[in-house]
Amino acid sequence: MKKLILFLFILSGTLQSFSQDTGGETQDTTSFYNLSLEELLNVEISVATKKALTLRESPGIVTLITENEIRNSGAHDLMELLRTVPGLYFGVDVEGVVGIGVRGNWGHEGKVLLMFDGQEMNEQLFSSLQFGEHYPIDQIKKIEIIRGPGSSVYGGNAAYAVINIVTNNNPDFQGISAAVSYGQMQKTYASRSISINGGQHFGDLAVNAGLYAGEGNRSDKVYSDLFGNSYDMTYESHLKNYLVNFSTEFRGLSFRFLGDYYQVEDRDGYDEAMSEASQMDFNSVFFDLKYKWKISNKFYAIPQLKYKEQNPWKVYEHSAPEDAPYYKEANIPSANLTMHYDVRSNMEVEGGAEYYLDQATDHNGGTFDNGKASITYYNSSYFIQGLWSNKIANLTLGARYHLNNAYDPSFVPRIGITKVIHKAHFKLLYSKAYRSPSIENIRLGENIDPEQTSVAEFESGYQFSSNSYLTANIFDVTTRDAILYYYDRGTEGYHNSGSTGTRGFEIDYKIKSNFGYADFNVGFYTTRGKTKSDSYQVTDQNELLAFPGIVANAILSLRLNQYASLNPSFTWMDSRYDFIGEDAEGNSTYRKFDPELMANVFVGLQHPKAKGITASIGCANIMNTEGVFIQPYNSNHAPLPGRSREFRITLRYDLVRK
Amino acid sequence: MLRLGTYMLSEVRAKILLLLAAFVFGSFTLIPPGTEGNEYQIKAMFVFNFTKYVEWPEVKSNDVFTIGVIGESEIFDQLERVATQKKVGESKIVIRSLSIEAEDYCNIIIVSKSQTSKLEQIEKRYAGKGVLIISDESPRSAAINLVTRDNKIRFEINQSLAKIGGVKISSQLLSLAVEVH
Repeated sequence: MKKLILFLFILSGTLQSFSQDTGGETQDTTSFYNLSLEELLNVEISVATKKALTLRESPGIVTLITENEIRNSGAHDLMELLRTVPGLYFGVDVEGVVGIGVRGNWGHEGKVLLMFDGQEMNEQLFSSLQFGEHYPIDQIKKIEIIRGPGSSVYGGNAAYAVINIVTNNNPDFQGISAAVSYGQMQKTYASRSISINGGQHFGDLAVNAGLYAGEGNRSDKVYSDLFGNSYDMTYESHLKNYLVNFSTEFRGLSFRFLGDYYQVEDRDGYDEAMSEASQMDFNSVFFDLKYKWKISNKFYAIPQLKYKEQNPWKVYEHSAPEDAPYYKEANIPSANLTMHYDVRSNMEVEGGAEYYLDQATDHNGGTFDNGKASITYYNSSYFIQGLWSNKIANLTLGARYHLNNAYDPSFVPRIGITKVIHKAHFKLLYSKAYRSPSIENIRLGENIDPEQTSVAEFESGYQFSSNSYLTANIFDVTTRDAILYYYDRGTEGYHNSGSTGTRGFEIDYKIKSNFGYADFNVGFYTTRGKTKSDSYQVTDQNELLAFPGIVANAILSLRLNQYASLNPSFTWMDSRYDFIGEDAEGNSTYRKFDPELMANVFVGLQHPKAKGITASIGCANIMNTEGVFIQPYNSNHAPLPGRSREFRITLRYDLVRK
Repeated sequence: MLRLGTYMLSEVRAKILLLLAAFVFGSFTLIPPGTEGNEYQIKAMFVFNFTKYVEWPEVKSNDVFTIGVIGESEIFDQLERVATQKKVGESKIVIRSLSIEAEDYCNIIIVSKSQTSKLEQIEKRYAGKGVLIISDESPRSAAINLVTRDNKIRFEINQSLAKIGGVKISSQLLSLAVEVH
């Protein structure tokens, strides 16, 4: 509480001093349009956008969520935003942790990569991501979601999707932004947070720093396990996240420190609920030092040193009696070199090498696969990617060669052909991904092998005008030797399943106009024609556990006047299935959840006089839909309830200087 | 609690947060910032600014000032944004997407990177029609060719091609060009 008071004090003082000092000096984009030719000659191109292909040309199925869309949505949690992307869903793993699925497939452990300001947020012991009041969105500039493998560029954890989050904590941002948010469910608060971020140039030196402190509750409903136990989550599903983000850049040399502290209150356990709750921590620190060495106008190299340290799934000694203490540390020092060469105006090549160690230590006296309390795996990767824009099409070819001292070398190719013909575009993409088992996969698995994923995609789109376009894609995903987790009456482990996968389509229509904007999308998947794994399947259905075959979203932002907008959004999910056990003959039995419609509405307000002060007020889950998180594999964890109707307010102050 | 190396940060976290907050928010001064922009945002503004230094035949003057873009390019969207903010004289700016075979009149035609191989063909079609043809990073310059030098946008001018196109470029613009042919 003291910290919150301290934050509020700093925030209020800062807001006051800035509003007094700078008054109307804030520049917006209109000032850019007033630059003379002489002034334009001195404007530098921001590097990030220099070679960027348009979304229509880029070799991937990409969804972009902009800062403006994030603010208008009224969302406070990253899950709220990602749920509106076709093909993304959430399910419960174990111990109160919620993970992500893509195109019907469970991607929680090492199949979806989340990058936060260039840092790989997946924890290194199991490669998982944890959602729910995690990865604060108040400071986000944009989110790029690439469905389909990104492994040839990003490595092993990117088989199904890459979520690339870029915050305002970068050298482009100068000014200050601050936000406070509070959400109230029916029985307790849903979330409360404070966020502040600032950036300043001192000559050629750019400095940015951001702080976030937030907490919330997963649900205010009653959780009932499959063994007849129940408890009220109102008081035993607490979530907490602190984040420190600091970056600095000087003439191409940049450094970032990111500290992420996330805590989950766990009483649901693995299958049977525990007698009392225990806390579980996911702590990560990241150090990243790199230099953009511009050798010529056509050639640059980026040497980079990184260090990541994590204590994921940390359960303390004084935890619930049923919960075994878990305290392991993962360290990943890495060095890499990326080189970029513009061969011609329509051709570029990027390549590089990476060397890193996967190290882990057990602080609770346990051992790893080598029989010792510490273990190290040695990894090296070499990658190359070329883009050639010619008369026929844009051609992207890429490959990554990975060496690991525990497994055979792997080769991951990628090919992308994209073509824009007037208002239409086409993309034909084929990628492979390869993931070596993580440190804990190896320890808990029996002769566990790497898994391989291959994804084929075709997208076509039509731009009706510069503000309105339709895209549609079909996909086919296959994972061979999929590494699956299981938990059965106190025994846990990993094994390779034969094959699993889905196929389906996604359609997205976006329109912008004077009224505001709208986005209508639908995602569909089926297992028809694909091999189903025993762990994921719903017998006699063409879909997999937890994730609905069809999800449709409508996201609208309606401009009411110069200062106000109305932002309703709707998500409709088809029926879902939960595994509840086996009958006397050993056949799996399921519980079917009926289709659900979830609706949110938020009003966005701008202060008519005090520039930069905005508010978002509204209601999430208006219809009080159940919105449970179902376990996507058959390990007897009951569905974890979602939040009840939530009223939320977010106040922001932004002073952005260009 | 955040762990850093083998040291627990819990005891010093408050101090670190305070120091960071003081560093960020206590030391800000309003130093004039350097300016950066998206490549095509800058190029679009260059195109708009060229209109102040180029003369078109009077017969082509109209209520609207038309800029056509041949080939897929991010400059299209950026020009549309400029068009919502700016006018050329009293004329409203209209941005059009043109096919490679188009013969429609525009005051300016921009040939995108992917279509620079068709530059000569386009120039022949519009010869003498009072059209300023601008190429984007073309190995062979049009009347004006936008180029990148030292991470900044510059432009080259080919006077004879401008003359063939039927437009007149002012000496002031020539003096700002990185190369004049």
